[in-house]
Amino acid sequence: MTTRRDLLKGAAAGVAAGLLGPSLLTKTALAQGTVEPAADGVWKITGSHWGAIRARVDRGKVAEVVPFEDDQNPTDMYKGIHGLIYNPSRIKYPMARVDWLKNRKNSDRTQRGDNRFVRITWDQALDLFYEELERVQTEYGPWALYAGHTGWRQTGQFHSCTNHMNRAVSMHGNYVKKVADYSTGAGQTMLPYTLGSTEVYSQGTSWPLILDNAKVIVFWANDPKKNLQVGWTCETHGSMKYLDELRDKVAAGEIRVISVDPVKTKTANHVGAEHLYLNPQTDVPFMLGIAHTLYNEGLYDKDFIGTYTLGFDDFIQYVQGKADDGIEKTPEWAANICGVDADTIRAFARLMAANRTQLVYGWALQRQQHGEQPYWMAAVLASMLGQIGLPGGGISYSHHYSGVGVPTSGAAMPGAFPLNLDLGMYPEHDSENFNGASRVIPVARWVDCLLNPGEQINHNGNKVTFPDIKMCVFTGCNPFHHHQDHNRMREAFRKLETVVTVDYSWNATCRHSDLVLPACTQFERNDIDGYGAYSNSGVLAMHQLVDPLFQSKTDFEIFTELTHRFGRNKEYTRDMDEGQWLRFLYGECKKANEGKFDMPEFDQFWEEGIVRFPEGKPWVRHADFRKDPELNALGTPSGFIEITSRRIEGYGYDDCGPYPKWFEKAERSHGGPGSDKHPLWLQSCHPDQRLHSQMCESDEYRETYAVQGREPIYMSPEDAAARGIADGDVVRVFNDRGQLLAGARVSDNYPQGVVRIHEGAWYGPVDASIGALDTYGDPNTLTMDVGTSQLAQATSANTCLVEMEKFEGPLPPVTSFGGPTEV
Amino acid sequence: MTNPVKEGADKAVACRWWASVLFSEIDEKQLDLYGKGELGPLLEGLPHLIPEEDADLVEALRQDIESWKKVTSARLILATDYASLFLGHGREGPLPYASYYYSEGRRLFAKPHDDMVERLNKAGLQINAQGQEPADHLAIMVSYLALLYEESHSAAYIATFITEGILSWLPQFTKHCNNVTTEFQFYQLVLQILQAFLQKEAEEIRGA
Repeated sequence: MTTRRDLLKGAAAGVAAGLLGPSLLTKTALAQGTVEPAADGVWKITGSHWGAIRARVDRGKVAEVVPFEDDQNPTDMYKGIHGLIYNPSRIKYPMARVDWLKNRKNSDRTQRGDNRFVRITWDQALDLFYEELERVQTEYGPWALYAGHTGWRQTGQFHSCTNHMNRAVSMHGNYVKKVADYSTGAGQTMLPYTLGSTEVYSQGTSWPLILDNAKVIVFWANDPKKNLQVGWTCETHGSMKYLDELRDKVAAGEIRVISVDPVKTKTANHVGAEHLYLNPQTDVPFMLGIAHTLYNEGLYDKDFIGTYTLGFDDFIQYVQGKADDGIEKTPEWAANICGVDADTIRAFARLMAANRTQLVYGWALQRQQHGEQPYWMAAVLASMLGQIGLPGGGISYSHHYSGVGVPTSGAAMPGAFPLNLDLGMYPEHDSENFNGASRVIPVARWVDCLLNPGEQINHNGNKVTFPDIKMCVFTGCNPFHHHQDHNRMREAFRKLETVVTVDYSWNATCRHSDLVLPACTQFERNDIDGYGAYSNSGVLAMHQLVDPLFQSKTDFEIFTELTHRFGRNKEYTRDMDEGQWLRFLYGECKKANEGKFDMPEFDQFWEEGIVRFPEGKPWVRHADFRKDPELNALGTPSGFIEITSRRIEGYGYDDCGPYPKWFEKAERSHGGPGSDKHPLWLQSCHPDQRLHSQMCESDEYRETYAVQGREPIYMSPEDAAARGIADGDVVRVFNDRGQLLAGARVSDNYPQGVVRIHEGAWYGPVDASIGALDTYGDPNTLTMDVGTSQLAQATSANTCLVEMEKFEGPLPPVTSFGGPTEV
Repeated sequence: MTNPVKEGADKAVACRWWASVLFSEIDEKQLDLYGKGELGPLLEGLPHLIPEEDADLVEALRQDIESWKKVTSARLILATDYASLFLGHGREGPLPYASYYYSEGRRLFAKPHDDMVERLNKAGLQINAQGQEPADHLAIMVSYLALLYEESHSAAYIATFITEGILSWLPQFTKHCNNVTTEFQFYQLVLQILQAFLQKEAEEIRGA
């Protein structure tokens, strides 16, 4: 009789070794039971968009993160870093979409975003990546590859993923690139015509001079208290103390701060600002009403207009109703549109004219249809006030960004790994034949391009012909966060034969890709960075905290191995490794600062973690131009401020004329087009607790602001009550473009008819169907994908109307965070 | 009453198989071995390691393996199933890490990971570098259990490890996997049989 024990013995003896595999564990050199005594670990320093941190690393793990002691106003967001590193959504291995792996360019693309993936080795992954580059260059040409779509990479000058991807792919072949960005597309295109530079990324007048000289500060759609928490390079938060000083001066009655905004902003609440509400998207009528008052009451600065500007007369004819539409832009006319009564408009104009007034504009204004106009009109207002170039006066478009306004030290910052090919280098496939299409497209029209190859559009005085793109490469960039109208975008993705994405966490772009390569986070590599993007406060060492998790690699390794496949890796790396590159970049920086700023040798710097530079001298934007407008001419065609632009007039666009004008929007709340069907204006401004979409996946930190696991939608008590919505409810937000779930936050900061969902909320539809309900609350599920105008062709995200209702059904799980899943 | 120490070698074999299956995808050679019935002896023995009422799980497993022969791309399908269950669903999908089911923010590399590292350190063990998986991966935990059986560790220690180290989260993981749609049911069955085995082990040791 067979006993149970015999059976088991049989099992032990009979199973083929090949099915058992080698043991996953081996004996170490240490004797059994010898355990290294627990230590508290070591402290390391590194940086991030959220600021510099010190991290305690204990037995190969980040145990504790604290703000760097130089940072006197650290953002709360450093608390999300641990959850970002050890996130379950990390991409652990190279993965390929199964149907693409089987059928490659003939794969079923309707499955994108809803298809399963399979693990492949790094060698397989990079071979496939290379084969696809090769196939697209030979089968089609450079016009079929789009690889220049980049975003807010992780910080670090050497490992900047944008540079690595661009340089590596450029070594293989030419490709379609983008121009402009999603933050400031209209502004950076418009303002060179008016003020001679993009302004949006320019250093602004130093805060100490503003605080000492301004009597009125106008934050116009601008929320620096919220947005200064993050920076392009490692953020110092050096500007936060000035907002505190401003708060004190407001309390003491020394400065009046007026926040012109539909919403009572974080900054307004912080500094105790007066809130001047206006209807969304109606800033231009409001400004025209102000211009009308300044002109007709003789309050404008005639001398400034005469000396420093061109084209005022043409513009004022429009204001007076003697040109163009023939409507006089009286405050009464403006009041009907913008919701601010005529007397308030007049009083506001008089207040600004009577005082040293600093105008500070945010970027949300130009992220709407005809977004060029409010920026242009703002420059005209500032010109009429005549204070451009004076301390505490004039205009800024950047004081909410990356520490603008903190005086610049003047020190040189470390350079980066090269984005472009070195002089004399050429791609493997050097064809310049773009098949009659453009090799550069305006970034926000990228989905138009995928959907309408061959179509010709106007852009900034040129004609752009859309190439027929077959393959995209993304790195450190999540278009399923930043592009508008995700349902339209999903249709566009179905046209692509191949999508390669390099990232560290499974986001919607990864899920819509064919090949997903795991990069490590910035906390898993050594690097250096400038401390303070505009203040140039120092050079920061970015110590690697832990080894790359799972099989993730640095972008440098990934693209070195890619270029190795076509024999260009030594050129790509210049035959230097990470350590040599860091020494090189530091050494070049030290050389540039020689005789001006002392910097220690690299080893000492690396040990100490930072080189600090003294704060620079306060400075006034445009002061040199004011001093001598001919010697220090602006970069406009005439060298002067162009209130009327002959060049733009020459383009003949019907949506951007020779001077700033009011154009009705395709959608506008408060009685505007479309408001009868979808009455709520959805603003999707930069988040308070993320950098765009970065850190949304950090679960514990997200729970500090999420509502029932959903992204908050902020609304007025009136709008909530009218729909039976209570704070904490889940609501369905919808329009004809899409639908999403979000968590209601009811607040007096919001007026009736205005709701806000911060951009950067991760997209997670319930399934792959077009129009599927987004389970977490990405506002770009709802936004409109149209260009601002034929001039900039920029994003119009803030031209968006929605309706909402309390969600009563069973709540679907959030699908935004995590890897591919077949629903 | 079963004596786990006496039958340790057999259980170690079963654990090594579980660890192998859970750690990585089935390759062509292994697929060939499965096709030739090389798992037969273990399939014969497994019903005796689990409660009688769960014995049909083993039969279902045998049938599932048999069904692989009917498709031409079984390896790719199995690899896809494996990826769906073990490689990256993130927050709403299963992940084979104890930390994922333990920590509040579902962070990886949390306390269960540290506890497992300490166990391995005390035993003078290290994880083979291949795969770079953390110590609280189910396969590594089961591999460790195999060693405990092979080295005849005390029943009490084994029971504590099974209860506190694995059964504290495995049922959640198994349930999670059962909710995922896959083409084959192989991995879900493997997990259910493993769970049944561990639950029986823990009960028998406690009762001994």
